[in-house]
Amino acid sequence: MTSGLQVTDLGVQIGDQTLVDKVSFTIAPGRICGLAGESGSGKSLTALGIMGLLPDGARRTGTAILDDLSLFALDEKEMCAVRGQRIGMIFQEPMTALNPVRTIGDQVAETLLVHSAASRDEAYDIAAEKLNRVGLPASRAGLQRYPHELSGGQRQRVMIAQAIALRPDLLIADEPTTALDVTTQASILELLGELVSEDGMSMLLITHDLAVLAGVSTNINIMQNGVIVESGATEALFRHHRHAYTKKLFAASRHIPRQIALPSDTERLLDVSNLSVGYAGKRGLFARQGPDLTAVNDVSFSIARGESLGLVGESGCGKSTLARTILGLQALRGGQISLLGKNVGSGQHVPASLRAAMQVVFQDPYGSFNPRHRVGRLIAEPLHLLANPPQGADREKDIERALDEVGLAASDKHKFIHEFSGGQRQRIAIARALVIKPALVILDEAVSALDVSIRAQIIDLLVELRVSHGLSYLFISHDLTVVRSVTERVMVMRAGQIVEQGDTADILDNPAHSYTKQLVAASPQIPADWLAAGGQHAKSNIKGGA
Amino acid sequence: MASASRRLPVALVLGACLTMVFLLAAIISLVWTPHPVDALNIANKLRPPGMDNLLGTDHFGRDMLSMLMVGARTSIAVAIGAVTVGMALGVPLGLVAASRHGRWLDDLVMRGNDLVFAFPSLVIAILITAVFGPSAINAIIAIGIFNMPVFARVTRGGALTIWSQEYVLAARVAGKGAARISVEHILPNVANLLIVQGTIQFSLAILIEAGLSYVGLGAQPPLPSWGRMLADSQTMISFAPHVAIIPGLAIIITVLGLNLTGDGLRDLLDPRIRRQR
Amino acid sequence: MLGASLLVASIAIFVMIELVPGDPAAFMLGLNAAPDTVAALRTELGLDGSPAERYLRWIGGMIVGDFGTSYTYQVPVAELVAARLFVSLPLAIMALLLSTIIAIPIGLFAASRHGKPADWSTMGITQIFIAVPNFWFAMILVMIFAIQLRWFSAGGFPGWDLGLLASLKALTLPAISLALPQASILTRVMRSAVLETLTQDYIRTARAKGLSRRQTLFNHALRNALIPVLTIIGLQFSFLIAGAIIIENVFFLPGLGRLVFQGITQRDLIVVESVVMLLVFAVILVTFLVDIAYALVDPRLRRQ
Repeated sequence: MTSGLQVTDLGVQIGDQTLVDKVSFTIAPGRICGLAGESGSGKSLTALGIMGLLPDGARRTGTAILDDLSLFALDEKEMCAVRGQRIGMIFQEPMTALNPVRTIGDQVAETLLVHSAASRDEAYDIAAEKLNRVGLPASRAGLQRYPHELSGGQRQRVMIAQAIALRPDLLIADEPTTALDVTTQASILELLGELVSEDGMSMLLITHDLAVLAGVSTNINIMQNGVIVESGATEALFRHHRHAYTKKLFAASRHIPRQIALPSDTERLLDVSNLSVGYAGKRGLFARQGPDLTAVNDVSFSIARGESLGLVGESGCGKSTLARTILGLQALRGGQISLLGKNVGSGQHVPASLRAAMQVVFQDPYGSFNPRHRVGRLIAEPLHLLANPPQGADREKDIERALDEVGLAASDKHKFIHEFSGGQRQRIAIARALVIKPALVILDEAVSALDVSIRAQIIDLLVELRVSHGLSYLFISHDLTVVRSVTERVMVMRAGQIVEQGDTADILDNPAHSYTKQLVAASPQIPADWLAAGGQHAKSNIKGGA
Repeated sequence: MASASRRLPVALVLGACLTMVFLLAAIISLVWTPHPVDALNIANKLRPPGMDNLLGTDHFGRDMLSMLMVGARTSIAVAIGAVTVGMALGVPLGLVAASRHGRWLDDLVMRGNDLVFAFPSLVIAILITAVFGPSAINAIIAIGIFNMPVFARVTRGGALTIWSQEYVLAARVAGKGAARISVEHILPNVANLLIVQGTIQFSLAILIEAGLSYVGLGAQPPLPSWGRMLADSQTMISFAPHVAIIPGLAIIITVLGLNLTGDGLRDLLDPRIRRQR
Repeated sequence: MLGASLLVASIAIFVMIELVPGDPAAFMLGLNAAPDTVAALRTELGLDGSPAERYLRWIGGMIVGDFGTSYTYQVPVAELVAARLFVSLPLAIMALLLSTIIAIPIGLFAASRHGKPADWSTMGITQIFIAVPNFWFAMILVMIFAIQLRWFSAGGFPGWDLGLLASLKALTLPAISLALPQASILTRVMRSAVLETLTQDYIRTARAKGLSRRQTLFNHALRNALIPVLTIIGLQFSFLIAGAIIIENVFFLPGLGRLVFQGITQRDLIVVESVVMLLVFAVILVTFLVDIAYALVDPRLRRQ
């Protein structure tokens, strides 16, 4: 039996910047220790520091003791023996974390072969066994398969099989489920929990998602700017946190914007009936046509003026295709879309006035903008849809007003997009959508890529704008908590079809359809009674100043 | 981050200097050369580098330095012509192909590209000169035709990346058509790639032109060219090596300078600027 | 796909050679030829008939190995070409092998020593060699190794029947001068491909499993880096062919180059047509082989 990992005063410097400072924590054997924080907090560097995999030029201080082995005192060769054998690590993006040109059998067996733990044949047998253990029996994903043939969840299982092949004492998991769907996330977390309890392995679980940690970790450390600001046993930390940052973080993650009362008798803004959208198989010059895909299958719904309708579903369900079709960017195969009573076609056939009535905000705050244009020009792009687009001073006034409404300064219109942070860029994206005063705004995972605290601010902004401009929203998201707080009604989509729609609170509290039930059950929640007002109790440890 | 220090890459500085030397030599030769290039001076033939003739004389007594300077003109002219032809044909092709990605037009353009690639410049030059006779213009056409698929491919590759960016989707939501988007959004963003590739193709054109002249398919006498200087020098290499070595060095230095400039430009124009997040 | 490319290429060549000069027979005989002679040649060459007919006759002939008869030598072109092919082809292959054998290990080595003297000195050297015209380098090699040191002859080719070793020796200097700039390009491509691969996530995964840097380089980076390198090798082949033709001039090798240049000077369109077709065929074939090689190396490209 091991005595776990003890990290004392770990520090990481790159250049003259200190990115991790005096980080200390203990991971007891057979326990899951959580490390939470927003992007840039230093949590990944901490993990890499423990593994000795920091980028070239980084300096490391402190100590880490695994059992009686002082990790930082080992040379590279000895550390290679530790990695994979006594400490395993899995990463965030299963798509890129596996070598695309080697079979999954090769990659799992490699762990064994590199540590000379088995002969060639034995290694492959053990690899098959480990893959089976993580839920990939040979019937579904044999040793000969390649990573690109598997789904995201399956790839992550392969990653886990690689990492635990030699039954390490400790598994470090750096955002292991962030890139996965909610239901897949739930099953991976379940698998990890099993491995910990059955094999007596300890785990360091790094994530920004507090709800995930609430469900599985024994204790939590909160990191900000390279420092651990607070730590403690999970439930105790949630109930009795003291540090200002922790308070802020917890508040943001359960933030509920003000609720709006909808006027009862409002006209229908968007009407979608029996919509079907498909992709013809790819066809080249001489190649045969590929198989046809149906992305949206017989979908019907409507949005009233001033209403916010949510659309929930996992990746591949067709929600993005639906959004693009409504926007007139994709041809329909069947059914009808009408906005303000007029039919929405696609491509050239959508009149400018109709396009002007609906705009979109995307997920990625970095890719949504041409890096060479100034912000003023970026915001003004939709203006050309107007019959008489404003010129000169009027145009500038419109741009400045849009910036002001989203909480930015008029002078920002002269800057380039890379000068702004992620949250500010989303504000600019919203400004761009608003400048033309549309009736409907489609928000496609608009807050998913943002940190928790920023997300809360943007959600507030969206709610305020809805009131002041009388906007309707189609709010697409995979995050049920966000959807609950921003929408009145919600639709659940799966494999191109709407399986359930209705009042948000109703659907999420009492789901009728089995898939909705699955989604709701899989979404990690922080138990409600833990989130009663954070009291003052000496149970948690605060590090450093507020 | 350290973007404020827009220190120019070393390669760029070095390359630009070398290139400048070559360009200046060509420009100056329009008005002055150390000795007249058309004056034959047999008595003076095959002098090694010395005071009178800085780089020596060739088998007709002509001053090597002057010949080099005038030869530079031919090289530049052919290279500029070839790159222009290549870009003028290739870039629009690449833009169109990228805007119609996944459809038959894209496939057609790509297949056509591969096909033209199969004809090395030399082969195209052979074809053209077999029928029309050798000349500098034909060299420009031959190298230019070969350049076309290079620029088409590079443009298309860069354009495809940009088409998949969300801001292009936003432009489409704003109602802009493919042609407008290609000009407003795609072209400025691939301009960097094209500048770098253009520099590289320019240096390549100089090498190819030298090869063509060497076998007699390029600029014809009396138009001087480095390649032909080398062809003429071949028989004298054992007793007058400088006649062979010097034009070769001129080619090397020029091409090296251009390549360094291209590499330096690539470093300079890189999304390092975009890395300021 | 292979067939389609060849077809289109042949059409392009045919158009250039036979249709553009208007009347090939008149072109071949020159301005002072008597009309009777021209007419006779036209019949002999089978030039009466529509372009489509002539084209089909030409293609049909090629498929059975009849490339027509050289006007200058009055010998079947196929014979002329065959003899020369056995000089040009081995030369191109030798150069290809040489450049690949040099480039891949050095590129790998430079990448593994990224940022250190071994790396940037390799980069500097290759940067210079890329700028070297291969025919000039050939002349220098001849100057040093043939004239001064007398290790090799300055040119000429003994013929394969006079012995394998002697022939290979005659091809050595030419192959080296061809290979040098190619090897330099390939080294740089290999190095950047490996460096690019080393930034990928799966490299980090491999290190986390306990692989040393060296093991990671060979087990993961190398194979993935070969994919872009393959593309370049395929592209470079067309340059190699062009280079081989020029190099033959320096070394007086009786290869395809000499044949086609003589054909141009003598206005022997039949010869030019056939040799160009052959060269283009070689390049298209190599591209095709590279595509196959891709599927071998990258499982994502294999059809299910």
